[in-house]
Amino acid sequence: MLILRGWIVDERSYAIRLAASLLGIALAEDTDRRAERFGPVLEDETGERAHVGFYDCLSGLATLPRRPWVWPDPSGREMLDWAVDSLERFSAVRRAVLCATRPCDGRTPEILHIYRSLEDRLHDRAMEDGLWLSGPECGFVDVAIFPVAGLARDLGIGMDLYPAIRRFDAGMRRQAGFITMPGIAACH
Amino acid sequence: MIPVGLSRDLACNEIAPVRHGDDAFVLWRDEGGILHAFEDRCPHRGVRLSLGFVRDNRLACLYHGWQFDGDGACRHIPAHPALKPPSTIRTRLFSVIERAGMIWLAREDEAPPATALLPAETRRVGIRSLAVEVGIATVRSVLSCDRAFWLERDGRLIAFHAPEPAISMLHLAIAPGEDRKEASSWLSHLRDALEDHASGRDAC
Repeated sequence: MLILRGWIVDERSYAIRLAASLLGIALAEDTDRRAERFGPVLEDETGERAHVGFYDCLSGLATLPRRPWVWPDPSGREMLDWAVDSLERFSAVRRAVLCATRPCDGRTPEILHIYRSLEDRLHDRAMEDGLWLSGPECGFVDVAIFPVAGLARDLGIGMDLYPAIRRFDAGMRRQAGFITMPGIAACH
Repeated sequence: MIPVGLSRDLACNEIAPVRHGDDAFVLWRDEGGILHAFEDRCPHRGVRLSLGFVRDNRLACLYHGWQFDGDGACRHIPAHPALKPPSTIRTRLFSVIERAGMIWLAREDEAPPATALLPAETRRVGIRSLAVEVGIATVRSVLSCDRAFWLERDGRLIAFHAPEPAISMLHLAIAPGEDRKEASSWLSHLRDALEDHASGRDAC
């Protein structure tokens, strides 16, 4: 069984847990607060091979045999890189906001740009009657960007401004195998 | 009445928050497809109902699970399952209708809803609701729309409301058969033009 060394409130650790759950991959979890800063680590049970950091962990899941999700080809890699980069930026800002000792506005221009970009990309998919960024089905890109949608209110981002993100969020919650984290409730 | 979204953006058993000026509303569509609009505040502890969920054809608050029916009356309190909630426990209700592919909401001071001031009930397809980082005055100025929250141009219905002082939401609906992608692209260009206009004005 794979071992995820992650932190419960870290978005990237959650995204790996979510991907594993949607793919039906059993994970043993080990709490390691370093993941809050450096991202999760995915190890095989022997401890001989480890994927360090969010992107590596995702690619580690992709190498497992007989899994329905396809790792993006070079033409789709831009989307995955964008999703991973957006999640990393979101994670840093959310951590700063939640740990701040004084009220702190998370709606920085950088964060608002991420949300606008996500909304535009999801709308473009909707114009082709699709819901997912990865393709016809949910995939790695969607899981990578989902915490940005699901945890928006931690940064004071209202979903009334982003209808396509709201649809995407609801669609992910309807997936068989969907799991929660603090801030992303199950009852939807 | 204020245009607050597209009908296609709210499916059955889904919830959407809406803000306009200082007011916050929650829209939800029941199993039968009927749309409801409440104040976005649970009468129990004040939590936003838009964080909640639809259960048993009622809107449930995320905090303690109090459930409200389409008339805004509390019908179930999970902590007291045998209790019939008093009729005084209810949310504030707002009139809401769907017309021309959009959702139109009446604020309290507009009862009964002034439907005569809405666009004609022709069949239209909602294309997109889009946030623009400009105030509603700029939108009105650029679109040459003095008072209303909508206008028709080249067969397209363009509507808008103001969730924040410096942010407007644009809504676009078109006639069936018109090119959806072209219309969507046009709306994106309108967003760019509005924001360029506002930044140019600020620079002055």
